[in-house]
Amino acid sequence: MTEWATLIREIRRLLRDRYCRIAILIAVAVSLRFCLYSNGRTATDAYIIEPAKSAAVFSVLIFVLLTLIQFHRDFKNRTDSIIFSYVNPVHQQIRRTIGLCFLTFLTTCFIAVVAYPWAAYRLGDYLKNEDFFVAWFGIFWPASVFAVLLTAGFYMLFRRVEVAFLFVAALIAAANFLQGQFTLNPSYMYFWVQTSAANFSDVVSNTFLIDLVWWNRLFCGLVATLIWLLGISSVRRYGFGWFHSLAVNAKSIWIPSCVAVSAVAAYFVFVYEPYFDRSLPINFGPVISSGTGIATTFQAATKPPEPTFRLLNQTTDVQIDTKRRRVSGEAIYQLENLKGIAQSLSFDLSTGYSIEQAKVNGVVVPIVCGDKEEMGRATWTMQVDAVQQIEVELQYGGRVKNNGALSQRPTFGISEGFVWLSPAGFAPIAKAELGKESKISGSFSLPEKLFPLLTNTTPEKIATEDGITKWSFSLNGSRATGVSASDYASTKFQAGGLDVNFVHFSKHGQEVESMKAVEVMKASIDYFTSAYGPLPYKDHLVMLELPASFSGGFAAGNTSAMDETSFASEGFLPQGEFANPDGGSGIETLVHEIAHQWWGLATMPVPDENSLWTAEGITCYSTYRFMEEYYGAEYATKTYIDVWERGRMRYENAFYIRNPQYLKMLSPADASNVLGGLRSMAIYEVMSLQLLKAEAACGGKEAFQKKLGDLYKSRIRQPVTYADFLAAVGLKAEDLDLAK
Amino acid sequence: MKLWQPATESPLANAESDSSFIDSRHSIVLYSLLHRIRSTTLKLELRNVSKFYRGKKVALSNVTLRLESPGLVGLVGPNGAGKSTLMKLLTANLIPSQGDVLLNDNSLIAQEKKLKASLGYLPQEFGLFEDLTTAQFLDYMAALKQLKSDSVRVEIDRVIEATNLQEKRHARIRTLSGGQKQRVGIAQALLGDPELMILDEPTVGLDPAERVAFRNLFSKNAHNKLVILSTHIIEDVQSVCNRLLVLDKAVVLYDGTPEGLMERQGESSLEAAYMRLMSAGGKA
Repeated sequence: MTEWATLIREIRRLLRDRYCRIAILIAVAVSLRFCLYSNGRTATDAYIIEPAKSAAVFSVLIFVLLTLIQFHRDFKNRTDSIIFSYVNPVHQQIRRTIGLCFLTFLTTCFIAVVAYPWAAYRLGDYLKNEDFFVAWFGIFWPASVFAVLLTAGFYMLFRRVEVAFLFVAALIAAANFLQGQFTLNPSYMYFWVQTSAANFSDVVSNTFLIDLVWWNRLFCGLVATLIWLLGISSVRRYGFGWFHSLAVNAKSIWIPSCVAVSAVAAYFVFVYEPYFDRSLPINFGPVISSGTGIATTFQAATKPPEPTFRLLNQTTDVQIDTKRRRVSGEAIYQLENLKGIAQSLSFDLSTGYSIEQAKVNGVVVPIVCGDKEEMGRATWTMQVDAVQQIEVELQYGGRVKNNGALSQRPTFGISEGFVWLSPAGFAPIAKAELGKESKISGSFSLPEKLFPLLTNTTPEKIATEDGITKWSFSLNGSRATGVSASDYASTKFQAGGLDVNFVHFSKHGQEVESMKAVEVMKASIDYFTSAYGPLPYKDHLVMLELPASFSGGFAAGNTSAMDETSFASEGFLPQGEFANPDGGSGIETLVHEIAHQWWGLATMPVPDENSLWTAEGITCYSTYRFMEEYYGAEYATKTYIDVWERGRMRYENAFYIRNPQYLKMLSPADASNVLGGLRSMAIYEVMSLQLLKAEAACGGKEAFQKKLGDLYKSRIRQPVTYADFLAAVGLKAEDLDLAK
Repeated sequence: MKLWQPATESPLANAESDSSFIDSRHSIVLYSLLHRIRSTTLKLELRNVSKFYRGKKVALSNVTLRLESPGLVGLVGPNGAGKSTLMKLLTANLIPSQGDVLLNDNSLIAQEKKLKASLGYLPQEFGLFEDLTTAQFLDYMAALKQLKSDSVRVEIDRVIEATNLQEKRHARIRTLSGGQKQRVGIAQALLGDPELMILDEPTVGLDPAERVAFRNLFSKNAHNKLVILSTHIIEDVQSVCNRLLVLDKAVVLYDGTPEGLMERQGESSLEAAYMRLMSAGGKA
């Protein structure tokens, strides 16, 4: 019989083993339960990604135990003493491991057969086969395989069940611990059980997130294989201990060769990770947090350095190749050397790109990339002669890399269904003064099906040929901007004194229509503009739908963006007694996000230790007042006031609120966790009630909102403290005490 | 209890001893076969072999032995005498601390693959895959032993019949009694008709009738193979072994025929001769 036939017998044997059958049964049953009851920000998350991630943790534990049973039982009851007399023990342990890995594959197939129709039923048109495949065969299955490899490896290394279990358990705990440590900025490659997959979009390609899943699996697979091979090298032979057995096994040259190859490969895969750059940690100095995940950057008014060049004209021709996922382009800059001396000229360019050729006044010159990478940008520098007028020609290209200081979140990139390029990812940015007369223009090409958006300008279609459309753009006095492109649909309307261009993913068209999103946006922008004052945008406002991976929204230039969960696929209004309207989906979230344009983005309510003041409380209050007007008092009271009151009761009855002395007995980390949960409850629900009390104290809704409007107008693009708020409404902190 | 006869081994099993039936028509064929048997004679040799375990515990001390097929070698001795260590050395499960173990004049470890291909081994203590049936287990072992796929079914039938497990062919091993599991263990050792059989306490747990039957089975196998039988049961050795090795305290006390030991000790039974040898510590 061949080795293959022997492997088949091993697999058959495992399939007849009762522990294997039980393990498969439990793993399948529990995974399907997760399919039924998981939550997520999007339908893809809820019905595909999160079930696979939750099931992966469970499956890892199951297969760790099964692997230990299989390896240790046969050793302990001396089945191995017969088998190893006939075959090479190393070969037998390899067969055993492959057999167990096959069981993980079989388990995944069983789950997929049931989970796929369920996902198709729940997601309908939003189902993307690639997402499903990645979830179960990119997250779940490899996690189970790694569990087998690591457990087998540690067991063969130590020949002790408890030691092997502790090692694998420690690795599971470490991965889970690191996943929550954003301040440490751990690499996504460490998360071997669940990966960093989250916030999968229902409506656009999740290629950027999927890239990370596969690279994580490559790295973790190599590390797990390395540990397993070390275990294989340690298979005890001829009654020897670990060291002598290692020496004996090393005589089979393929074993040390495979160990070396997997170690070197793991090293290179880690070091040459292709999606994030080597950005330094972010300086959070100028960033002000609302305490709820909303952060705004306020630039301090520092004196800018004396300009050395002025940009007169820039023309750019960019090809965005969605198939190869690369950008290539040529940019020509006409600059004035303000000092007229020989000096260096720098350009910022997205990390991951390179400048292939640089010419100054028609002569090829060297250009070098600096070592420093920051916020997804690298600086390229060239020397220019002492001439007044300079024309620089750059040919550049490459694949986008993201800011490595935020290694969980791939923001920029190119996929077949979605493009998002930063300004430095579109064209090199000359470090030169920009005057009002500076003209930046050019063209770029994209697949026909993608509709581009540029902040501060509207691109115009030139022509379409062979499925590629060429677009032109032109800007005066402002920088070249980043590009986003997708299968967008656009609706234009007027609200709050602004021309609003609502751009959303075509795939969400039906949801947008059925939830009457445009109506709600128009009404809410009008309402908040009337209550607080106009938004600080000039010309027109672009309301842009983002993929879920952006996890929230942002405001920049004339664009106000919010992620797709504001147009969620189901449940436009919150369901259930304890549903939090501000954590719900659809219209509630949409209005909440629009209210954040005034409180959280245009102004920044900053938290402090002595109050519950954040952007959230005032946003919740604002959302409630709009919903009251839009849906009526009965609905608003039931959905907001009643929920807030219940939240307040829970908060006030919380053990650590009633007995704060016990909080001091907890470790700082535990106390922080407890307070974090309580604070989250308080800033959404208790603070909202405090604002209603303030409203009553001010003489009613109109009077209160007028004072808030005055505060807003006086603090646009500035922080707003609790003291600012109290001063604006003429109240003291104790006036807002709900107990009084 | 029904006594059963083990199935006849390969046609050559009794060829040498029953050469009287050779007639002129078959003489050339048989000569050729006998020549092949002789030319592939299996020879195991221990040269000054010692084995120490951790803490310098001596399991075997300076043992020199030469074992050749065909033959049935009985290995007896009290617990801790070094019998199992010797068996593990012969099956390449252990490597000697000193000395050499040779297979056909070459290092055994260097020919480990060859040894494994020609071995039938039953350890003293062993486990089986409890969730498999007898036939499934033997099929699994046949794959490990690299038996040709077209002969596996026939071979499984043969060893099942040889070990009288026909009725338990489709029974899960976890449902078998201790004696039946022992027979499954023997059956796997017989699979592939190996040239070398090393059986450590094979008749433990068997009833007297089964013991007799298996003794005969091993005896038949020993006609053209080397069978090494470790046992506590002197009766097993007396009835079938043509060579006896007595081990005690890591050394070989006696190496010869059972009759020779009786003669040397002046006893009429092997058991009495063995007891006398042990009490004298090997001094005749």
